[in-house]
Amino acid sequence: MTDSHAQLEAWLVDGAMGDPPREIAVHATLCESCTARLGAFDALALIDVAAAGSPPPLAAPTRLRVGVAWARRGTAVAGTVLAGILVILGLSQVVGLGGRPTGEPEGTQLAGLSTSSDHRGPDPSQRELSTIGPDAAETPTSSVPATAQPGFTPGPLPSVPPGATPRPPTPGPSATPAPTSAPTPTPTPIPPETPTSAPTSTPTPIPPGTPTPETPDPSASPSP
Amino acid sequence: MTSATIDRMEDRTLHDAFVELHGERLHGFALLVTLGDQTLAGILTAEALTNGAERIEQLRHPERAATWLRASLTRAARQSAWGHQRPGEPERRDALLKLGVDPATYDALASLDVRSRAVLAATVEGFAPADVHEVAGSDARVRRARRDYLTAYLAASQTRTTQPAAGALTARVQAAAALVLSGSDR
Repeated sequence: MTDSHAQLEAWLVDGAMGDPPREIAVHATLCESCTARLGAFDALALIDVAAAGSPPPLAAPTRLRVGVAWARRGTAVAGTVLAGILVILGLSQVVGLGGRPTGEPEGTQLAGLSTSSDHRGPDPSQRELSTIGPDAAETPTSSVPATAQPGFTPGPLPSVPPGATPRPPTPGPSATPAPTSAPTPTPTPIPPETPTSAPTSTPTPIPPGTPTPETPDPSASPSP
Repeated sequence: MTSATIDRMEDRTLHDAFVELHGERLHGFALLVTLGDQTLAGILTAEALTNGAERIEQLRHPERAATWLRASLTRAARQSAWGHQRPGEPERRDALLKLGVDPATYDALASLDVRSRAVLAATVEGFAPADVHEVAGSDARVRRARRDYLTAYLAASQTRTTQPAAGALTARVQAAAALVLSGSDR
């Protein structure tokens, strides 16, 4: 009995082509559940697709379709732009063009630049401030290492030059060659400036001011 | 009248004839596939007809064109990015009731996916097995769609008191049984 149900079902599922097997046909006419199975496909046969009428005009779909297409294009473009930005950011971090690392202080980069450009203008003013105490002859040799040593840390120097200073670091990535090249131009201009200005300016104002208080006091007090 | 104008008129006439030949039945097919979504059915029908009219030289054979249109429409209907307001169930039922879809059949169709509904719609239209296969993509899908529909219909009809009247299929089976019982089939 169950086998007959399954056979009828298989015949229906296969498309109900041709006549059903005889014993299945006899069983189906007497079995209520098999009659219901036949009724399922009979219900489909009652559908009349032509009753739907004519389709709407062709203008509506294009508008909606264009909107969907533009939405898809927009998401694709936005994704591409975002990916491009991420790639550029990543490359700049790898190459070092995008700025210094977050933990590295600004002074290290400035110190690295000052070693290479000691012969330029802005340094003499700073050198004057830093070399007030010692003699003029000693200041060139002592001042450059004094500015280089506290500012330099051995670690960050090799990492900074590839991006920032392509020309000077070639002689030596270590800190020792940089001071030897830098002092040679600086000593000659500095000594003449500092000694001449300091001694001449301080003694000259004193002599004209000192005689005025000295003359009246010693003579006036003993006379009365 | 220039030859270009005549060509355009001929193209227009050909296009109109194509739409007139396939439009109504394809629209009914689309309503079944979309489960009574009239807006979406209209969109899909119009788009399939437009695409078919562009390939009118390849689709000169009417049966070939009908199968191609249904396969194309089914593929488009399976895309989920149709940004329109979907109708409620009463509207869907009303739309399909006009085609003769009874409540139990509606319930069964509602439990199926788009491709399975397309298989059944092509069956309703009387397509040959090879054409139904082309719409569905494989014979296994055709069988599964029919089996799923049968199971769903039996479940839905149990909750309803009214049974459908015997149709052509039942009549065929009864005729075959009558031949056996009368002994005249030997």
